[in-house]
This record gives sequence, structure tokens and C-alpha cells, in this order.
Amino acid sequence: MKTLLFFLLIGSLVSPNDQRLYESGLAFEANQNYEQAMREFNLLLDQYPKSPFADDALLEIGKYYFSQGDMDRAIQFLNRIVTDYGNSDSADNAYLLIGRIQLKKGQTDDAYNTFFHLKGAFPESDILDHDYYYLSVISIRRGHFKKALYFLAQIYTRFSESPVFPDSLYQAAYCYYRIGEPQEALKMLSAINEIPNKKENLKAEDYTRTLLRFFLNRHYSRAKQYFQMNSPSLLETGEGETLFVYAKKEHFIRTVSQSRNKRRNTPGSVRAMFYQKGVGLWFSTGDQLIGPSGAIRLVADGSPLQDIISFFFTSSGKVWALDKKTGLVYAFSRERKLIRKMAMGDVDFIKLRGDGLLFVVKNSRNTLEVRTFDGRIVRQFGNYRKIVDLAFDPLDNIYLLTDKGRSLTVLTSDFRTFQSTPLQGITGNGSRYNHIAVDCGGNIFLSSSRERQILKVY
Amino acid sequence: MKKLIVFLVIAVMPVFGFDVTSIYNENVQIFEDSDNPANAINGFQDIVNAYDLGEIKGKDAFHYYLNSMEYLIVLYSNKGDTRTVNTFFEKIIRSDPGHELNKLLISPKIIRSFNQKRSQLVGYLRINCSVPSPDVTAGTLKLKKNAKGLYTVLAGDLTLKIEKENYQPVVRQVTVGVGKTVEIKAELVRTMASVTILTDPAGAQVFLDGVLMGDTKGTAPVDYLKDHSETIRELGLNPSTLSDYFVINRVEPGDHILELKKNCYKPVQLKLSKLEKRDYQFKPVQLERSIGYLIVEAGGDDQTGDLFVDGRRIGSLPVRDLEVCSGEHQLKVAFENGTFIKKLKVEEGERRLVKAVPKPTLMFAGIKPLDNNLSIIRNVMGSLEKQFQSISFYNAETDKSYTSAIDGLIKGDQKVIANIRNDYGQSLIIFGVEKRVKLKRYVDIYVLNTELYHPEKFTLDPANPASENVFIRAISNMPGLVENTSGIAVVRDPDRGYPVVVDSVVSEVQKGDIILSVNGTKCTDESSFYKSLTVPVSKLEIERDGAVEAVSVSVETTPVVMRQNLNSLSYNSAYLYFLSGIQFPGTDAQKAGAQLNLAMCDLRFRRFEQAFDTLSMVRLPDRPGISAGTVLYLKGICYKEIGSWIDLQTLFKNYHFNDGATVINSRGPRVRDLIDFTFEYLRKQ
Repeated sequence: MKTLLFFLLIGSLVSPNDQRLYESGLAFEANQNYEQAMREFNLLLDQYPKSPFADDALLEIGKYYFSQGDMDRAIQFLNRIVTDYGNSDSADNAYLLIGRIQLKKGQTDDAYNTFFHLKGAFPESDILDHDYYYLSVISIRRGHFKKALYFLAQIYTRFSESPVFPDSLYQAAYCYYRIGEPQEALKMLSAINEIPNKKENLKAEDYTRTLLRFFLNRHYSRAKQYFQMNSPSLLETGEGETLFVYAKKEHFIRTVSQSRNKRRNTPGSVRAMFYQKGVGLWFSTGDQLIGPSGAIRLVADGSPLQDIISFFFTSSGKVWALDKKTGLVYAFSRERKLIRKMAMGDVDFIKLRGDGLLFVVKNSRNTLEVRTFDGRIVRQFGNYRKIVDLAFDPLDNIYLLTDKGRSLTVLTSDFRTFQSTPLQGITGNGSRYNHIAVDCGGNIFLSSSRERQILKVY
Repeated sequence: MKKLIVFLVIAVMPVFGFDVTSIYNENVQIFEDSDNPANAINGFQDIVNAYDLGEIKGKDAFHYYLNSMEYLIVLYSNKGDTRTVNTFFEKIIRSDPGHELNKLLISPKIIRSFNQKRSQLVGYLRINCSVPSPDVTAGTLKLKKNAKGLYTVLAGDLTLKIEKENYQPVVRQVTVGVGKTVEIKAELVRTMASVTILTDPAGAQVFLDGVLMGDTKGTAPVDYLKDHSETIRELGLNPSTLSDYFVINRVEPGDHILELKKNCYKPVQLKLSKLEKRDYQFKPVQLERSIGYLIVEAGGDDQTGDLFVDGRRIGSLPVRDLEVCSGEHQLKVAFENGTFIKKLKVEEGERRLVKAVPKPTLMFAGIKPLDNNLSIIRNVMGSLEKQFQSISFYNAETDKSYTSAIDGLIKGDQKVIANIRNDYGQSLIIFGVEKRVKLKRYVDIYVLNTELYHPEKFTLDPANPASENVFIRAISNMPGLVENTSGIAVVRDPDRGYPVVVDSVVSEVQKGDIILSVNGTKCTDESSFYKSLTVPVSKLEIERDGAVEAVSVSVETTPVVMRQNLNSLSYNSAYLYFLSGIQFPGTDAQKAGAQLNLAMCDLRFRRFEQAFDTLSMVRLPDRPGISAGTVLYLKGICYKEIGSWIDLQTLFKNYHFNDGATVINSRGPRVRDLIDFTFEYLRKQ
């Protein structure tokens, strides 16, 4: 700290005051003293609003509030760059951040317009690759896979050194798969293999495995013990090869992965688990949702939800929850305010697929409904009996555990049946399973609290 | 309309500036030759006004000012305007009290009135000084002695400065009355020594204690030749090549070292010991010629090339024991397939062997330091220089004389780049700038080349050697120009450990086939599969539905567009590589590959027109081909970025290449798809 102050003193002797404030702000940031850093940047803005560093300071403040999740404050500062500093060289970065905030807030149309404007207004910008990437993300969310591929092609044909380059290939692989061109998807993954990065290569290998299974019709045929533990129940997959298992009798969640094997005790019996990408695992203890950053209670019409048996977070931060007590599905905003409640019939559980489609199992587990967020029914299946659980892989293929856990049904992302088979043929015994999870390599994990192991089907 | 013209004249004036010489000459001509000399009044008046406003600068400005006023005096007196003439008299006297009017131009009557006017304004100084002819200034005005040995000054209070080189100046406050003469006595105290030297021949650089003082030049003064004829004879000097006096003033008393250096001559060092505060004139120094030898050989046995030294053709390689002056020379060898350019220094008596290989140059201009702490820079430079030598594609050179031009290079000074191109030919220019970020020192390394101005920046963290490796890899990584393809795309099957076919335009091979071996070599992944393919036919061992089969597929060499995996590629470096590939191609396919990649570099730097031109030059075989589709798609990108939507649609609508054409490489996505996406995107906008 003394050295820091010494350097700051030296800096103050040689640079003009606005530059000194900006640089000391950066130095405080580097030392993770964000409060002081913000104070310096704000001082710069107050004292030297016309300084060439003022727009940079605004961007730093915007970035900070963005990282803190305070989107409204961030956007206030970023808008100032755009409105007050017309020729700012930070304007493209500000637009990108504004677009990302709008995307996070679920204002997809605004975000698309912001990103689209950025592309046209700053054709020389060095963040154009990120801009194309977010345009593709929005197009994918809207289901415009070909349009997304157009944006992604801009990245992988022109910005091969971009940090979003590997992700653009994954996205392209996903889009190709969704438009029914798995061989093109495989070529995209093969390009990732040419990148000398072990982590990426392993991830690409997982995706390749899944794609090859559906491309070459390789049905699930084998099973082996994956992990040994007492009464495994709810299952959820995380990023990498992480699997979360809830131990029913002993009330703990075990994280199973190659590098770690961790146990976390839960305050009561867990009713549901959901892995939120980039955040971590959430679980419901009935009346509250517990996540990495703390617990939340969901209150609808003045009374808290009592028994949340299914829940998920959407990409824009909204929470959807099914309360068994009332039998209603509730949607809450980012700020946990009730937006709407829906009666969808006799619902047993709900699940969210990566592309934003809602899977509802109802009528004593005999009906599967696929809905959009606005409640429109896309598909309805009545031909599967007693669906006990369902899961998705990263390519949005659907894995159902039917016949009270005796059969496995795999549907492709566009709802064609890929495989439907009694589990006995694979496992060699007549056990029933209650829970299913699928990792990005297309490996299926099955559990039943009566068993003493988790089974891997491949 | 008039207003517009006036506006245009006003707008254009500052652009052209005030060319005092031509205006003056033009008006002198009007004065002398025209029927109406009064027409010159405006021009001369302009010069006087401009000078008064400080718009004319340069050492001749004052001369033009005074002369213009003299002409104006003549012209106004011809008109009988004595009032204006009087104002000019006063102006001249106030500017230069000692000024004498031009007697050839101005009539004696006017000169008399001028002198009369002057006598009402000036006084005189008589300066008795211990040193002959000192420099005397009153305020900012330099005073001249008149014929009587008096200095004319404006009457009133003056601050007088009497000085001479190597003496302590004397400052006096005096009051001079009109027409009065004031006597001043000044004792100047000598503080410094002066050294005068001559060299034979002229043109030698003179260094005093290592500091360059200038070059000796001119020819020896006649007086010197007369007075020192004996010395000249004694030393065996050539009077016609002997230089003029070279005077070094303000030399501190004490010991000094004087060095004389000239290309092709041996340096001479003189020890000047115990100099006192006086003028020293040394005997002329004769410089002796100094010579080194160059041996230039071709890098390869079968290569022949023509050697040029400093732009003069010497002959064909090999050249042995070529006599050259010691000092710096530029070597250029023109080979059939390229050039070799090197700047080198030959020491006296040295026999310098140079192996010439036709390559571009990697010119390292050094690192601009942040402050006097050079320890980090020295380490980084040493390490980089070592690593540059190991890049086989370039002739690596370090030229620190360009370190001072780094600021210009950052701003894109074309003159500096042109100089580097002259000195080193096609070059990759690398230079660094040290900076401090958040209390830590980093070096920003800039990479650009002489062929296009688009610098790339890499930041080196001196504490982390990995960052340097990333940079070196980026500039030395050269993508392939061609690849062998068989119309089959494979991907490694993670479950089987073999490549599996995902796409095929060959009937013998189907999707899902597992490739066990190519030409008897076992393959484990896609890259080993593609590497094992040989032209014209390769034998594959495949597994289909559990049965093993042997099939033959035809393989051809096709151009490849820059691979995607080159994450940290330096496009400047790649650009030179591809450019050399185009200029000196091996096969048609290699040339096409280089052109495709060159266009990719242009795309990277948003040079869409150039990219389009380069793509239009690509010559492909007259059959549907992989690269034809790529060329078409990339041309489409150019049209899109230029904004020619109609051309883009026409181009894509006329697409008639085969459906299997792919972009990026033979396994990349289909051109047809990318074109479809583009159309769909355009429709939706």
C-alpha cells in the first residue's frame, strides 16, 4: 500500500490532474479498492467534465456497476458517454455494454437494435467480433438459427484471433444441428480441435461425442456404475463434467467431478435443483430457494410460496416456480416481484430447455406439454406414460424417464424419436429410476433413492 | 457572386501563405519596367504591412521590409506625398537607426531629407573595447558601425549589450541625447577557449569529447594558403581538397579529445591538453583512406544473383574481396526469385562474409524507453534480437538509428517507412514502446510492414516470458498455402479413437465410415488423416458396419484459406509471407493459395477494395472447385462491406459452382449455406 501511495505521489507530480485522477482510479481498481476507484473517477467527472479522460472514467464506472449487477446505475453512466461525448472513443464499448445490460434485463429487441446500431456505426471498432457474437446469441434465442449463422460466419471467417472465436464455433455447431445439418456442426467442432487449447479440445470432444451419436444413430446400449453413495436422488449437471446429487436420507448435496468431490449439507429436504450457467447450483427446500449467493423467498400476493417442487431461472434473470400447494406456476422478475401466475392444469413438474422452451409434465405424469414463455403450446405428447423426470443435453435433445422409471426415451431437439427402450435391456436388471441428468458428452446419469449407486448410461 | 469570390480569396489566402520573395520581385519588375511604376505601391505596401503584423518570417524578411520602404519612398515622393514619405523615414530610422539609403535608387535630395530627419531622432555611441569588433546590441537591435566608427542609436534610454564569442558579455544602461555622442568603455573578460581546425579532405565529422560539432566543408581561404604554404608543403597536403576553417567556440579550458571521422578514411583522434582561455589554431589534419573487404556468396549452391553495393552494380555472385570504404553500406542482391537487402558496417581491414538469401527483412527498430531506467528494455531487446534470428523466413536486422523515429512510425509517417523500404527492401518493421500500467512496466510491441500501413500491437510483460513467446509465435507462424484434399471430411471419434467420415463427395466413402489407415499409416485424428493423404491417389482402409474394406480415392492439391486455429497470428507478418508467395510462386495452386490468404489479410484490415481486386486475380482451374466457392463467398463479403448490395445479390444469384464447395478449408462449412444465410439475413432486415 505504501508503494502504491508513493507511485501515486510521483504520478501526481508529473501528470495533469485529470490524468492523475484517472490513473489513480485505475490503480485503486487494480488493487480491488473499487469504492476509492469510483470516488476518483467521480471526482474526475465533477472537476473535469470536459477532460479527454472523462468518457473513459464513465466507462470504468459503468463497467464496475455492471459487474456488481447494478444494471440501472451502469446504464445511466454509459448513456452519458453516448449522449454527452459524441466523438468518444469509448462509445463503441459503451454501446456493447448497454446492449449486454438490455440483454440481461430481457429487453431482447432493444438489445438487438443496440448491437445492430453498433455494427453499422462503428465498422472499424475492435469489438465488432463481440457485437456479432451477441447478435447471434439473440438470433438463437429467437429461434433464427440461419440468421445467427450469418452473424457467426462473420466472426469465424474474419476474426480468427478473437476471444469469442471458439464460442462462435460452438454456437455455429449448435445452430447447424438445430437446422438439421449435423455434419456441418461436426466440421465446426473439428475446427475447435485445431485450436491448441486442451480445455477447449476436451469440451469439443464431448460435443462431438453427442453429435456423432445422433448423426450416426448410435443408440444407448451400455450402463455402468458411475458413483457409489447411499440413496442418491435428485440429479443435475453443471459445467464441465460436474454432477450434483442430492442424498435423500442424509440431506446433503454431493458435487461429483474428476477434480473434486464435495459434500454440502442442506437445511432440510431438497425438492428441486437447478444449475444456472455462470452462477452455480440453486436448490429448493420447499419454501425458499438457496443459491451460491444466498437464499431467496418468493412471495406471491402477500403470501410466500410454500412448496416449490420445480423452478428455474431464465437467461434474463426471471424465476419461474411451481408451488405444489396451490398447483400454480409463478413467474417473478429479476427483482423477485410477481409478474404473472398461471394455471396450467394438474402440473407435476416443469423444466426449462436451453432455447427457452418450457416443458410441462402434467395429468399424473401422463402428458408432456411444450410451451413458450408466453404460454403458447408448441407441442403436446400423450403417448408417454408416467414420466418421472426429464433432462436436456447442450444440443437441446430431450431425455425422458418414462413408465415410472422403467423406460428411457430420447427425442431429438426437433421432437423426433431417436430411441425408446426399456431400461432393463441396458442395465440388465429391473430397477426403476426416479431421476435423470445428461452431461454435454451425452452421457445419461440415473439415480434412485432405493439404490446405492448412480448409473451412467452411454 | 463578388461576395463568394472575396470569401474564396480569404479562405484560400492562408493556405498559400505570404510568399515575400516573389511579391517583392514582381513589384520591383513593375517599378522598373512598367509604364506606371505607381502600380507597385500596393505590393510594397503589402510587404510592409505583413512585416509589421509579423506575418513574414525568415532571415531575409527584414531586408525585404527595408527595401520595400525605400521603393515606397521613391514612389510617394514622385507623387509628391511628402507626409507619407516622412512616415517611412521615421519607420526606417526606428527599425534601423544606422540604415543608409540606396544611393543608386534614391535621389540625393531625398537622402538629404532622410539624414536630416535622422539627425532629429538619433544619437551616437563610441565604444572603446579591449576586444576588436565586438557585437553590440541595443535592446533587440543589432548595431552597425558607420564610416566614422560610431554606432547610431535612437535617442533616449538604452540597454546596451557588448559581447563577443568566448567572452563574458557586458551590459550597460545609457542615455543618449539627440545628436550627442556618448563614450563607453567596456572590458570583456575571456571565459572560454576556441579551437580552429582544417581537414584534408573536407567533409569530416568533428567530434569534441564525443559530441558531434559539425562537418568541415568548403575550401581553404586564400590567405591561409598564402600564409601557411610551408606547412602545407611539409605535411604534403593537397591545397585544392583542404577544407575551410572549422571553428569550435565556447570550449571549456582544460583537457579535451577531438575526433575526426569520415567514411572511407581512418578516424583521427587529437588530444587537446590544458587548453587556456584563448584562440587555438591547429595544423591541418590529413585523413588517411581506410578500406575493408566484402565477400558475398549466394545462400544456395544453385542460386545466381546480381550484387549491388550502395545502388551500384558490382557483378554476379559470388563476389570475393570487393574493396569497399570502411563504414556503412547497403547491399542488394537481385535473385531470380527475390531480393536480399542488408545494411552493414565494414570495419577497416575487415573481410566481411555475407551469405545472401532472398528473403524479406525483419527490421527491429528498438524500444523507446519510458525514462532513464533502461534495465528492463535492455533485457527485452536482447532476448527479442536473439529470437528474431531464429525466424527462418526473415533476414533479421536491428537498426537502432530508427529508434528516434518510433513516434513517427506510430503516427504512420510514410517518409520513415519509405526510408526503411529503401534501406531494407520489403520489411516487417518491429518496434517497442515502454509504458507503465497500474504501477507495472510493460512493453507495447508494434508490428507493421512496409507494404501496407496497419500496425498491430502486442503487449509484452517483461516479468512473464510466456507473453514474449506468444508474440514470437505470432510473427513466425506461417499458414499453409495448399493442402491435399480428397473430398472427404472427417472428425475424430472420441469413442473409437479413429477419424470418422462426416461428409463425403466420393462415392467409395460414406458418412459414418471409420478410417483405420491411410496408405498403411494408422490415423488417430483428423489432422493426421489429412496429413497422410498423398497426391494423386491414396489408399484408405475403412470400417463400415463392422467390415473392413480397402478403397482408393483420388487426391489433389488445392489452395487453403488461412486456417482458423491461428489465434495469435500477426497479419502483417503473414501478409509479407503471402506476398512473397505470389511474387515467386511454385505452382498455380500455391499462387492461388497465397492470393486467397492475401485477400484474407486485406479483409482483416478492412481493405475491402484491395481484397476484391486480389480475389479477382485468383486463377483457378476451369472446373467446379473448392476454392472457386471460397473466392465467391469472400468477394461477397467485400461487396457487403463496401455496401454494393445489388452487386452482392447478382454475384450470389449467379452462383454455379458445385454444391460441395466449402469455405475456410476443404472441411469447412458449405458456401451454398453461407450464401443462403446471407440472403435470409438480407430478407429479414
